Amino acid sequence: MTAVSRSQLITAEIIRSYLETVCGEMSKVVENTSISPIFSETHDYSVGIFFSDDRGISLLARAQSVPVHIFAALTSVETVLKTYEGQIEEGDLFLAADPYYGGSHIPDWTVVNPIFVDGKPRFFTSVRGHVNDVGGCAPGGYNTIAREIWHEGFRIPPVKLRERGELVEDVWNLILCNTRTKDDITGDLSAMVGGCVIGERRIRELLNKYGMKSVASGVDYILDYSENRLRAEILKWPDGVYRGRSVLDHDFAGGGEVPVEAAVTIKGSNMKIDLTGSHPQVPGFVNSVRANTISNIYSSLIALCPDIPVNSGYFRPFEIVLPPRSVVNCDPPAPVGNSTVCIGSDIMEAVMKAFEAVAPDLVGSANIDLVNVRAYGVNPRTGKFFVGSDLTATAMSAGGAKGTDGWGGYAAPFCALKLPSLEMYERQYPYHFVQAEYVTDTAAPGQFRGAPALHYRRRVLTPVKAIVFNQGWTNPMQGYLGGKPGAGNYFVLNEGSQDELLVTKFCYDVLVDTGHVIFAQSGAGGGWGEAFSRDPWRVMGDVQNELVSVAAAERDYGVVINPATMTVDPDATAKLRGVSRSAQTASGTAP
Amino acid sequence: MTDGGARALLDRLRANAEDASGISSSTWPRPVFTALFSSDLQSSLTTAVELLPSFTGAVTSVRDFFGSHWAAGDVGITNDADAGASNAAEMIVVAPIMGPDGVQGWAAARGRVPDFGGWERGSYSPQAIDRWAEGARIEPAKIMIRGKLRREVADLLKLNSRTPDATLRSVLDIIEFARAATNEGASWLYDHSRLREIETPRIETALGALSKDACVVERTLYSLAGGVAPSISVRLEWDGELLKVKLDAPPVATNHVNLGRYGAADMVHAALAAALGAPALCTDALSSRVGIDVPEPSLASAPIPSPVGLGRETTGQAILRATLGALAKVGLHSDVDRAWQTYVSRIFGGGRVDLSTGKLLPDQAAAVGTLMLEARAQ
Repeated sequence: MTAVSRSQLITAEIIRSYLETVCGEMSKVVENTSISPIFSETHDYSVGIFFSDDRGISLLARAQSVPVHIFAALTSVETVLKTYEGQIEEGDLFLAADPYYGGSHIPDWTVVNPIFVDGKPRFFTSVRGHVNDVGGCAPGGYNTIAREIWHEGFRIPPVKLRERGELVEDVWNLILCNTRTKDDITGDLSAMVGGCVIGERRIRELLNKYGMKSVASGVDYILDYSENRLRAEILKWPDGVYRGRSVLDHDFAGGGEVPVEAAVTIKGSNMKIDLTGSHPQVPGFVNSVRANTISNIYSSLIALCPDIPVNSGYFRPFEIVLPPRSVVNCDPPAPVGNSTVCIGSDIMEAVMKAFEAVAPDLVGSANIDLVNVRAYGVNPRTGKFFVGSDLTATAMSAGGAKGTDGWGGYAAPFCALKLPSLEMYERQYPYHFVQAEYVTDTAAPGQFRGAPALHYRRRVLTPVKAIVFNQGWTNPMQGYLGGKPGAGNYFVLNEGSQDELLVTKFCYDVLVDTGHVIFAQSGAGGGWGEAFSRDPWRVMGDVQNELVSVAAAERDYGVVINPATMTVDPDATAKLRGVSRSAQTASGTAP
Repeated sequence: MTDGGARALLDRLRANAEDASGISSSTWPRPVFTALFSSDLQSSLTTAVELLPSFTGAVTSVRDFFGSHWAAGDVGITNDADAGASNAAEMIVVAPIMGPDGVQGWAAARGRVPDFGGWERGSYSPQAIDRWAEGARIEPAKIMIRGKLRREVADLLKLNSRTPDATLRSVLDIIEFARAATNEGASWLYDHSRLREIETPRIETALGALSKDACVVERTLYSLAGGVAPSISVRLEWDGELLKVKLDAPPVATNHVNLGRYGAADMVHAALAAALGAPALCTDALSSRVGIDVPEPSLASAPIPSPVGLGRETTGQAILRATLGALAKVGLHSDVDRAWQTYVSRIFGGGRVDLSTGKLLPDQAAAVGTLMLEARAQ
């Protein structure tokens, strides 16, 4: 940004804050007007405001959102502009969703609303949301046995949903008739459009107040500010090449482990992230398109530097190298349905592991494991087909980080997602939850432990079919700085019946009959730091809260607790830990 | 229109459908059928009377979706089995015949594209658990507006096909058939009842010879996924005015042997046309003397979400055979096997599906594969 006055800076900062507030309002509009629980309850959508000038398309602001949407939303806007170059008119509104056209996976629909200033589209409001069904071969959009993109759902290239202010009704209907829950998704899509319209209204109010020149100047400031702050952070980190690795258990197609390799090169205020060495693309649905991979890379960085506004300025210091035809940069028609999180979270984890040596105080599990069950059938209450979009089962609980234990909710980059209310699920779907609780001795040990695993048990009240996709059975989310890995994930369908089925990888279209139980263990992130360094008082607290057993306290943490008195035996603890009590006292960790 | 003029018109429509020498040869695979309708859809002329009920359903669906919003050069498209299509890869296009006072009639054409998604190449997917798993769905949309290809719909068609360019080319060819019919239809519409008047006496003579005893014929259905094969029954009753055809069918199947809406009526028509001499029939004269009662929902008329992709080849075949059997019982004899083979040859353009697998025949699957490779090379 060229030399500016103090008042210009203040104006620019007001504009930045205003745009983020507008995103917040857009987000609320979507939350409050959408129909499907995946929007209204779980909040699996993101909003953004974009700007177009000679430099191309820039992300200016976003609401607290789902990280894998961030960069891919930007590429969706770019793809819309490229596809309709010279054919965008005032009043047009677009929808795009295809992974190979700037998207991530088919269920992530992106509404893009151009805002014209002086006859040109200069701003774009956008909502990217995960719709609950996209037709195709598997209800719920996660086809565990897909071998090509056409097995995964209805593909949507950039299309006009509104043309010069008029709804394009047949295209709108054509898209929605390719979902199994048309009524609900009609409401969700309308909510996305509504969010964009509110955003446009607010941007016009901004332009009316400050004028385009001031706002454009503010845009420069916004982007430069994020870039400069991030570069300042990178400069604090030592130059060098750092490596990280993460591994998926399997590829959903009979193949073995699928590793992601990350090499992070820091040089001055620049950073190169190279995923060369990652596994070639696979037959199953964990392949990631470029935009999705980059989204997940940025998500790790955002977790490391959480207080820097995320916009296109944030992306400037990076060079990203992705090997072609690999699981992190696949070619069509490879299936990609599960990639937003698996392999996406593994990309995040590999990058985060590379930072273990760079910024040990900042690292921790930023990822989640998208392990889930999609149960579907006819809801006897409504007589209508339903697909349970159940994110309760997703292994999402956070790992430990320096200064804090993992909490029982989504890891930081995913914290825009909300744990849905089980009571609401019971209202909306034919389920009766019989258990949802932490499990003793499942928290990843560490100086700061991970959250415990959750056990969910639900009884189905009508016959349903289920698709389960699971990872993390053999490669759970990793620990950091000596912290142990999380507990891992698995499912049991028809638990306790003759048809009981343990699912550690996946299944497709399995009957769960009325009254039968679906069980899920939803693991959590890893611990941070050596478990034997954990404050014994904290271990005692975990024992009192039944998160850790007396035996595990001794085995995993080296803390000896008298079960009769429920007190820590300091001498036995010190002996077991191999350090003197005085040393503990000196370090402030003595009981 | 004179008798000769009417016959000449029909011959031209048939020539379009069966020879198509003036139209690009990329349509996959042939044949393409056309139909003309009066504006109220009460009168019709078609190159495949075996498909007249579903043609009527499709035109009704497309017409009604857009209400009064039609202009010269507009073309609607659907592959919706609830509206008359038989399989995700079968496209039906509908174009208005415009006159000075608006829509004077309708032209429609139908044919297959190489692929439109689903589990398997060619969109025959025995493992499909529902309609969406068989391929992408097109509820009525306009593929052309005022003669110009609609980008959004064309892009959606292409992206949801394994053979994007070949699929679009095939759709454009089918549209050309509809356009050709539109041009012919303008003259037909001035006197559209003439052909029906020509056909009616023949149909009445044939039906008049039928016994008035009701009869029922059962026919075992295609075995469903190795299970016990259910049966379907056709009951005929001729009261001297109307031939009542009542089907009894098992419940909707979980796999793709269901028929979509109008599929059963099509097959009854096909049986009657075979018994009466199909090539000679081309109007709604037959429809006006036949009342068809199909239970819904059932295997014979399975609404969404039921899969339907193989319905005509399986359940449809059973209905055709049962109907011909019933007709024989009331005095109208025909060679049932030959009738089915003629149907396969005429309507399917020869064998298309391997009934032992429920998938496209290997040679046709290979041909789709070749088109897929071409698409990837581009």
